[in-house]
Amino acid sequence: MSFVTDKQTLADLNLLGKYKIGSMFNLFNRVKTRGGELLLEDLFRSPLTNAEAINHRGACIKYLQDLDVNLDVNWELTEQASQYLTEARSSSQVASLFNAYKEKVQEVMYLSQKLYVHQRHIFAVQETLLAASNLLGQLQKKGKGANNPCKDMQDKLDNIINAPAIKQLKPKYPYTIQQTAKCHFLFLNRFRNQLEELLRVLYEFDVYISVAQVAASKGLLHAQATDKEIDGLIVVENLRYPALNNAVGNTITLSKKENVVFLTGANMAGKSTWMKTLGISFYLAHMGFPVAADKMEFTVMEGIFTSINVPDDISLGWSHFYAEVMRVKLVAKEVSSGKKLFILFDELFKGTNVKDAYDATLVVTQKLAKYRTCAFVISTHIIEVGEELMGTSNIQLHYMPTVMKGAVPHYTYNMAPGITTDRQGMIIIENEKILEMLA
Amino acid sequence: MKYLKIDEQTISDLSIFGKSGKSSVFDLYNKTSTQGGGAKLEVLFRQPLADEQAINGKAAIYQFFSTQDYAFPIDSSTIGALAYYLENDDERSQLQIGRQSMGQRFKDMVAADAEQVFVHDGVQAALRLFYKAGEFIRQLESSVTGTAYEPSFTKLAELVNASEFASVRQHTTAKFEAKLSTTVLVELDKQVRFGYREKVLELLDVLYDLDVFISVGQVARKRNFHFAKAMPMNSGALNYKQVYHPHVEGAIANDLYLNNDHNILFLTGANMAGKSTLMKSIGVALYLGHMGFPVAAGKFEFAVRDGIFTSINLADNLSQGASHYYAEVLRVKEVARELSEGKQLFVIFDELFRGTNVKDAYDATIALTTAFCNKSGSQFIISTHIMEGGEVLQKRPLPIKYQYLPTEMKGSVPVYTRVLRDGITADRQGMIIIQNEGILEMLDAGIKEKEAQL
Repeated sequence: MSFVTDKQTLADLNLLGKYKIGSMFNLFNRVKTRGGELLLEDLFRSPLTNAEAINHRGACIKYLQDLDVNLDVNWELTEQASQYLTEARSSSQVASLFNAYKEKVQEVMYLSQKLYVHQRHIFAVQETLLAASNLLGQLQKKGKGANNPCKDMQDKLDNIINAPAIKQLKPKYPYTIQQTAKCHFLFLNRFRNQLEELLRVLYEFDVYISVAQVAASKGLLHAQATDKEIDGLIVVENLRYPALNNAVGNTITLSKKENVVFLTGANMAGKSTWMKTLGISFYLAHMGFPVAADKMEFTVMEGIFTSINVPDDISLGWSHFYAEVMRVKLVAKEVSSGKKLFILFDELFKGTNVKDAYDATLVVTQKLAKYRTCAFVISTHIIEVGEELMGTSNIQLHYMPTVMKGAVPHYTYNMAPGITTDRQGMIIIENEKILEMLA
Repeated sequence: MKYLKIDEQTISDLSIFGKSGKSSVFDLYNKTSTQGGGAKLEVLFRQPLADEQAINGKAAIYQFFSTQDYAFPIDSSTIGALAYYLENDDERSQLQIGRQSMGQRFKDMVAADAEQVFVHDGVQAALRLFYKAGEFIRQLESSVTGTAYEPSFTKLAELVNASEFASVRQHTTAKFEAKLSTTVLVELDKQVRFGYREKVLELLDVLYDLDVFISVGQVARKRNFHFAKAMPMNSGALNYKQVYHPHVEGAIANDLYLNNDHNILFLTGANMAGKSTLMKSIGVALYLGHMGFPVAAGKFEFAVRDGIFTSINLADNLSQGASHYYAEVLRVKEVARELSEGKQLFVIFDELFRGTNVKDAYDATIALTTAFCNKSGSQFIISTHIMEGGEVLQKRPLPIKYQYLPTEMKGSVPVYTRVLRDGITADRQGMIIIQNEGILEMLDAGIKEKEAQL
């Protein structure tokens, strides 16, 4: 069973994208190897749906964060080593030796680069082994024997690095021809699988250490996952936007008893940012990654859908409203199929007239609310809908307040229970003195 | 010359210049055969006029060309080669007569050097251009007299037949390349590229104009576009007959009439009823009208404006921290500032204040629409979802025209006629679309299934 989501959600939450400013991928990307980068992207693309796996990964990251270990490895050299391991193996030690001599002859006869490249590759493997053994040393020295969640990975490193044939390998660059042949046979024939395994483990450490470092520098915390049938769905305290340093935190509990949050507030009051924060934290938590909160506990769910910036697809002839309807339809299909999902709708049905938006928001919210195993956060401008929903037992009403300081609106970003009564739209118009200009 | 005030937002709202892959108004009219002509056309699009006589004068020229099936006399490679050749005004690149040593001649026999080829190609292009232009002038001479094109034509004829170019004309030939001795080649190079350089550039400029005229005339003829009539600014008239959007296949045409007594159009209608398209077609026609260009309308008269401002696809600039609503307010403010300076504008606001809550949007729409009523010299088109605002305004004696784009229900499927009607829409198809998509049933069925399992 895999975690379901879609492109729109990934874009809304700004999760992926190495070249996108402020993406979550960039936030956590402090990896030192290309393989690590690919693995990180892979983790972002496939969040987990198993509480044990989530908690295990979280524990690994936490453990590495506590030990404060560093991975000291050269990007180019690891990349060369991993490329080297994809090359053809020789049939025997003799063939390997013959090949090395052939390369030497080629070098002498027409300045062939083959032998040089070959030796650089071997050097790269040796350097990678050195980096791995350095990491292992740190893990063993700083490690606390019991309760080591990384023990499996650590043992794998240990087994390979301390294999006698590898351990006793002493030649230094530049190698003689015999040494080249020997290493070639050793790396590509005898220890090929082990070395591939070593790189995999190294990449995994690379990603975890990168995440651990970010967690340490940003003060992030590990969320606790459970897949038991408990009441609480998402419980967070002082949850903040992870990429911002001085973000204001909010506390909320979504449970089976109260599985819908109906959010109102003025335009710049921070509704969208808070919804994005919830979505991002939910997603990161399912990856076993740390979140910016004082506490986060959640029941493992099967997916997330958001609708925060539904684009107006003019070229398809669809109006904004229709685009929203199709989005809601997609979500309705997933929800009604019985999946446990987290749904975030920002400014639902803003593309239609008020009467329709009121009717549609009300009826869709009421119907969705019946799915008690799903959690919903729905925001709207249509305050009147909130008044109608008041008194439905499983719907919580919250708003982002606006405080007027003289004629200037200030936003606290602290969520409060109830429905907003702020109507700053006109105040902004008055502040800009537009009506005076036209008089 | 007075130019129309426009900005990037307006240009992109009306898709005057296309972003990659999307059709633009500029592309529609750009049938020019030279690069220089294309560049001239772009300048025209960047600077529409705001002067009644200048606009009507331009329109008369395009109109003349729309009745004649002229082809641009000079092929694009010739004019391109000449333009490239003229770019090099370094005197050191001239050929020397005296250096024809035995060795040099032998070298030339094997392969001419790059400099020689460059000069040769340029001079030959100039000769071809003069030959073709001369022919064109002889053909048209009799038919142009007394038309709007005459002044520009006379200038072209004067330039081509100028005494300075006597020796150039002497060497023109019907063949692709004239046979020239090195001495003549060097002499012509000197004249075309250095001696009379300014005159040659002027000639190219006049030819680029001709290219634009032919291109625009051709578009008018082929697409059956009509020419607009510019009226004095204070007449306040805006009279469209059968205006449609040139990019929409099978677009339906509409009539629209605004004047000083009714200077605001309050437009309502369901989402897909075609409000935005109608507003864009109105805006595009007015924009092109100010250039003197033919427009996609049966008949079109307009009072010349100081500027056109639109707000149709205002981008939500989240990264700058400004919310959609704030972006809208700032846009309105910009327009208000121009108006307060006494400018007479044409303004389009699509879905005003959709970024705020209903109560605010309602209040703001009423307050602003009422305020705009004071500016009777400017015209406004305001579309909104907040029909309730229109109902309140209707009760007051304001110079507002109320029209809507209707939706008709055929069974449970909405059909859009896209023809304007008087009044405020009462259509509320939003819920019908939701019902048609079966979303509510889907959710009900899911719950039932769940209950059945328990």
